[in-house]
Amino acid sequence: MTTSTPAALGPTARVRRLNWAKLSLALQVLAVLVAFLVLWEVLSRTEVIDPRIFSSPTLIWDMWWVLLDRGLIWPHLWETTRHLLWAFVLFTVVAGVLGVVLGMRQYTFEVFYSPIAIFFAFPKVTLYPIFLIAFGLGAQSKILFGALFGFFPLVMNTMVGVREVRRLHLDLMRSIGAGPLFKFFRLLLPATLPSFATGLRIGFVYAGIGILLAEMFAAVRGLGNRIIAAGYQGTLDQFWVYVVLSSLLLLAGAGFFRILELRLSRWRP
Amino acid sequence: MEQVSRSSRLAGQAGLALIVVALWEVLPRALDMSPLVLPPFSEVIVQFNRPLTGGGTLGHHTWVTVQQVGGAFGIAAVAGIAVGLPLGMIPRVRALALPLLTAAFAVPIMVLIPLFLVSFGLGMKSKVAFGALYAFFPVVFNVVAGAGNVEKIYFDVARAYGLSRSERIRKIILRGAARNTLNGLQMAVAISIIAVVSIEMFGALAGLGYLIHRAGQRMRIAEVYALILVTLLVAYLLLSAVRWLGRLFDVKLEISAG
Repeated sequence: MTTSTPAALGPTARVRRLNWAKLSLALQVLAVLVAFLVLWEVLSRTEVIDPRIFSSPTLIWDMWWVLLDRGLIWPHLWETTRHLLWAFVLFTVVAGVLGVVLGMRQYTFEVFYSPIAIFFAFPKVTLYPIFLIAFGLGAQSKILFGALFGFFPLVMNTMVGVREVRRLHLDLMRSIGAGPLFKFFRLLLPATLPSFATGLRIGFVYAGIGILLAEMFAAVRGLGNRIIAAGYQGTLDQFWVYVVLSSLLLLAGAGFFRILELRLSRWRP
Repeated sequence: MEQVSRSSRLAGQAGLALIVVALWEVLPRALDMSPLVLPPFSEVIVQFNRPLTGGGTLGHHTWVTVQQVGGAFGIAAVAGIAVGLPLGMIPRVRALALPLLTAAFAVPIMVLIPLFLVSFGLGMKSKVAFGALYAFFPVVFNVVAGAGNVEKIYFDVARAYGLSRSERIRKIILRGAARNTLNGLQMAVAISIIAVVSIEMFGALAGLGYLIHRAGQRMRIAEVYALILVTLLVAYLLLSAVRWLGRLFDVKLEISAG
């Protein structure tokens, strides 16, 4: 904004233009999604893709109502959501604390970061047989398994966020004689939070994948259990309903943290 | 902050590994833990001398997994770059593709495992196909992001020197996208390993995931730990190979990008 712009007009005009661009982009994204659904429907109806395997948007929609009627949606959705929320609380606390502790010193950062990155890239599913025996078939093994999945992205992002507090800003704080509390709330916290929120978003999605996987291995309820049961029974219409539902669950969470992430990084130039 | 030398970092990491192994050996005995939860380290190492629950040799199963990871990664890399470059080079398409690809990241592709087993069978085909689909997304996302990251001044210079369209693509866009592309390829390796071993645990005829699943079913937990160590080693070696490749092009692994 230039100084010659009238103060009363400048900001509103700017905001309106931004919204138009956003709206147009949102409409285009929506159009792509609709085109995708229409294409799926047409390919399935003309049997270019096998409708018994790939179903179709209208078949999935019909099956959604059937399952809702039979009471086969909410209990399973709630089971998965409940476990995911517990896992989220658990990994946020553990990875948040550990990330700050390990990221604060250059030495611990250097020593711990690459082993953690390797474990992040390592197929953690292989640990499930052990979780199952150690923590049983109930909620405990699922929550801990989900938390394990969410732990790695958050601890890595927190470590990076804590380390990237600018040297210059720290010097500035010292030169104005800032106390530890002032320094914490005015520099360390705002500098670290965007990266932390990125970790929360990715961690949430990974924890969700962990819970779904655990339910696919051994569970009697939950979206993952329904997905594997429907897949093996060959009722692929049901399979797709639960796949769409679990995708929407994780998308909703990811979208929430994405907004948080953008808000928290607004102070950045 | 002060720089940490390579040798002192490696010493720290070696020390860390030693502490983990020592605790793993001592704690299960000291706390009287059930060997079904955490057998001592020596007990796990002994397993390498015993026959596998799933049959066959360890070398054979490892090779099956590595082949599947290689196949999945190869397909994902070629397809991701082939699809990503044209999408990323047109600014309007790129603006549209990025939010869709960001959202696609939140779709739990793991839940499609039953679909791949039903349509491609229990053999290697389902593993390669599933791994390729999973690893496709980080590649295409990073290529699209990279192709558009080129700063405007480079194009101005190109215009000033009268570069043709094909020269602009070759000399500017591809160079600009290389960094992101390599980063995407590194993530694709990690994801190929995760995807292949995961689907192997749900249904397979061979491979490390298959062995772990079989040993777990029989409650042979020491064997499960031994196989996990092998998987960890394979993942480490494959990742190091790509990281080394990245260092050739001066790119650092940024695995948390998303």
